[in-house]
Amino acid sequence: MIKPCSKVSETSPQGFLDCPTLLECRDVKKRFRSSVKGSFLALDGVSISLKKGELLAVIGESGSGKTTLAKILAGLIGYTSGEVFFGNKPLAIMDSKDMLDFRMKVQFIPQYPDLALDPTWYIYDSIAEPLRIHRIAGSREDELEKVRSISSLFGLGLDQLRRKPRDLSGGELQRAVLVRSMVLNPDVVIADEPTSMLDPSTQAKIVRQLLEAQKRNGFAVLFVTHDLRLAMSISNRVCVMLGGRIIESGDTPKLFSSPLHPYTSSLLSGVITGSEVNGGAMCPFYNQCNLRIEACLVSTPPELRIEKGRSVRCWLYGIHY
Amino acid sequence: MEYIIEIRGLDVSFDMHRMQVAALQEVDLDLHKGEVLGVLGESGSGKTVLLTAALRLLPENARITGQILYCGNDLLSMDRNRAMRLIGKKFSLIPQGFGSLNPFLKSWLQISERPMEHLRIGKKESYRMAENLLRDMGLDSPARAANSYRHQLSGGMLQRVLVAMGISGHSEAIFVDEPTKGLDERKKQLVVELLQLAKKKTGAMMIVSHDLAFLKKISDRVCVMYCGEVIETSKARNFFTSPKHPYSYALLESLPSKGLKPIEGEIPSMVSPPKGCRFNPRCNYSFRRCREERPPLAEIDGVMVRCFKYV
Repeated sequence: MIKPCSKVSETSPQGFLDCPTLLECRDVKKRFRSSVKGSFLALDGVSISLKKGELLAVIGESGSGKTTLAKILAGLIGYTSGEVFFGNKPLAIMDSKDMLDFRMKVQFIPQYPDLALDPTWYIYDSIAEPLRIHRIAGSREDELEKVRSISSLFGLGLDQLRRKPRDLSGGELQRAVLVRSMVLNPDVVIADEPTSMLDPSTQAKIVRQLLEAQKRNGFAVLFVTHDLRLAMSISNRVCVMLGGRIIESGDTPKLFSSPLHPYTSSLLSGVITGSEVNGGAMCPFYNQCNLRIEACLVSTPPELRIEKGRSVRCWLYGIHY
Repeated sequence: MEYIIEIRGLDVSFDMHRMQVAALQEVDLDLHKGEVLGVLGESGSGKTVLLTAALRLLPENARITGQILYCGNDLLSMDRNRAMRLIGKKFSLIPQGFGSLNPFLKSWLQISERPMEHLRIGKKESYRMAENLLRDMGLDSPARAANSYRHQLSGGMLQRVLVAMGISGHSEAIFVDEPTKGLDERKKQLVVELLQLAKKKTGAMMIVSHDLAFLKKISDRVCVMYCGEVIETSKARNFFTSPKHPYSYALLESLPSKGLKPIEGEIPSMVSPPKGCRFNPRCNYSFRRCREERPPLAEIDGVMVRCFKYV
């Protein structure tokens, strides 16, 4: 079992449930088609809402659909069915003006900064690009001033801004991507495993800087990660994903101290045995679950609300059939 | 104690355009028979250079002095061909990530490439060996996996292929490069299980990683590297409960479970490393001597540590 650890973010999680929703998706499905492997349902009816100022962690193993969800919410890839809302406007029928606003207010931090930055551009240009696209800075001096002031907050000096991606270390590159997402002063930041490739000290530094920026500017963060301890120490709310579905969500302290779904419990205790293939069962955890019942095999567990802000997808907590 | 590899006073530097980058300085390290040695450090601390130096895979612009001894033979001063034959026979490498697997080779050929090349094992026998290894690692249909290409296998299967590459052909030491980078908990658990199996089939293992939790699970001894130097070598048991060097302590404190406290300052440049102790600009305990003299590697309670705090 994961031991309780010191909390890094301070705001009380209770406050966020009544905050206005910034970004929301309802019953989103995403099907990938490939000529080799056929079609694959990566997201199977995911509903999630991101409240103003909160840090929502999405945890799950590789292949659970975390990155697909993050990319859909950031508007980088389309979805097969369902709806995504920014503010109260659906993403699918936004006009170009609203779309531009969405692109400005919702920023994405990718997992591999070395692939995300153009290798032939100077770091400065990569960071200034959003300002140029949205015509925020009036003049070149204005732009320089803006980029410099934000970069220095994250510990990137002019020396690093003058270089190209190949001349920076992994931590510096990740910081450059972080700065790039901050220059437009966004309302929502979607971070897709930003620290999974970094060593512990650099990870701590980047996460600290993200949290400090959040405190300063008050944006909401969707933090995708497979590091349970990290999610536990920084987030206000957590969603657990498995097989393209959110199988449990709730406040961080409650979810980690008393997990409801058998998958969450075994994830936290670090013991998962059995095959990953669910063999046609309706619950993706069927083959590895010790508490499985017949209902899990034949019908999909619905999302059951246990209490305010806490829900689980498991037949153990609801009427069968 | 029986040694498999003894590294003595190893210095490695690279000739870049107009400057010299010192990657390793006076590294002394032993790999004992039957142990798993974890080499720990931040990116850029010289972990991978140490590993590639031991396999004599450093690029042309590397300047190497010092000794790497295997059974009393210095692998560095030996004729290159002879050294490569010896290294190929006795050591193996589990590379980092699946990118190192050749997309045009079936996995059995990949697994038995080293034994076929260096131990002159025939094709048929190699195939059988690869299949058996994959079966030992818990694959239900080893023949299918053995005849598949990289893109046809899942992540877990590829992980098994990588480890099988390491243990095929009875090597005496396996070098493992960052086996858990970017993997989730379940895959990490699998890597731990596979490497434990590999440990039973081989003499010793050296794992280079920055994943503290993973090294805690698997290693017998831990060596901490900082800025090209070995700064602490100790039993894994003692290291994770009571690290000696201030850097090791700070590194353990930066874990999320300890409250994500980053180490102040940046990793110094290898072109012009700080004078004296290389950690002194970031160290909370540094005093005048640390800024002037380079601390020696000294033994305290069975732990080798490079810090004036203990001298």
